[in-house]
Amino acid sequence: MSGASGAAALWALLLAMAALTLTLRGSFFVFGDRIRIPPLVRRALDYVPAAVLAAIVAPAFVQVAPGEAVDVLEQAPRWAAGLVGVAAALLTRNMLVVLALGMATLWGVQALLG
Amino acid sequence: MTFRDGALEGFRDAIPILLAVTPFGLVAGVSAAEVGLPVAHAVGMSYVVYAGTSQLAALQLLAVGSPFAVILLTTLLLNLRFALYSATLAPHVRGPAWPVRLWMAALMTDQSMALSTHRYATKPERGAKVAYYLGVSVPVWIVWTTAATVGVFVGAAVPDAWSLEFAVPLVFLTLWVLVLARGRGPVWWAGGVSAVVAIAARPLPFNLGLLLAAFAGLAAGVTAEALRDRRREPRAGSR
Repeated sequence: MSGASGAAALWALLLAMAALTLTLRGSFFVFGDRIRIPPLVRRALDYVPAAVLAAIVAPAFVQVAPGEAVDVLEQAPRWAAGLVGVAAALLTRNMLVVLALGMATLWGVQALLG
Repeated sequence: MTFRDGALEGFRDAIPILLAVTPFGLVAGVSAAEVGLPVAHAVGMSYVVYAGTSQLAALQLLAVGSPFAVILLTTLLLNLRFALYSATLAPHVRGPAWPVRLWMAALMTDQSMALSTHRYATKPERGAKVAYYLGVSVPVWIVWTTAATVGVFVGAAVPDAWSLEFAVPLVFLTLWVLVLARGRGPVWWAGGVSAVVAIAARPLPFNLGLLLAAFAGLAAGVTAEALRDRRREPRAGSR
């Protein structure tokens, strides 16, 4: 992510993200009732947070692949931080607490194994 | 109720939210710096996109080298809910000219949607709906973008050895756990199936596993909901 062309491409990406998001936000504000959401899409929207967040979260914490040896020493800090994070999220529902405890666990386990 | 009163009422209701969005904005800024975005992009992102979850997702995807098409599709998926919010709020904000409505839409957040719909439903007699919406949305925008800007400079000053980029998956983990804790059967199916598919499909090129997992999760959620509803009302009438 360096160099002038990289910077320009990155701006293009950010502006495309912005245009897309503004289109979604502005749709009904600007065009009123002239748009319809298909019922299936409306139903599926209820599950977008659970599904998309899972798709981002799971591979960040669990990195295994068929036929590949799992490097437990390398992955253990993430697993520990993830478990502590889940417990903290359920118990406190506070993102700052989860961040503090999760990072502390990551550093702690890294130091223990390091 | 005057515009001023409506806006002040919105601002008062938004105060707890301002406290809650501050750390999220900070994390968005810190993460952008940690992933290695140039300062201008890292700061600019929060102003032009202004949608924290999709920004963090984009950063995570940039960090693992995903193609832009996958990042944009993920943005679309994560921000589709705004179209739903837009539909929900639109009948209440018909007054102003369309450029003003477009600006109001640009300020839309989960929080402004939640507070506004609650207030429109519980106190319809008070009116000043546009004022209330802006009273919530403008302060949230100011606080969040300021926090994100501060976060970029804080993040740039933090040594790499602290692995602060790990804060991004932790934030998503929190959001995910809270969504699952609030939801029921079909939501758990959506989250569970998506997680399993995402882990299994991680070796796929271009981060396609993310989209595959997301759609598998959506299908699982919709299917589980349909099955639940069929079990609840066995043969309700003849169709």
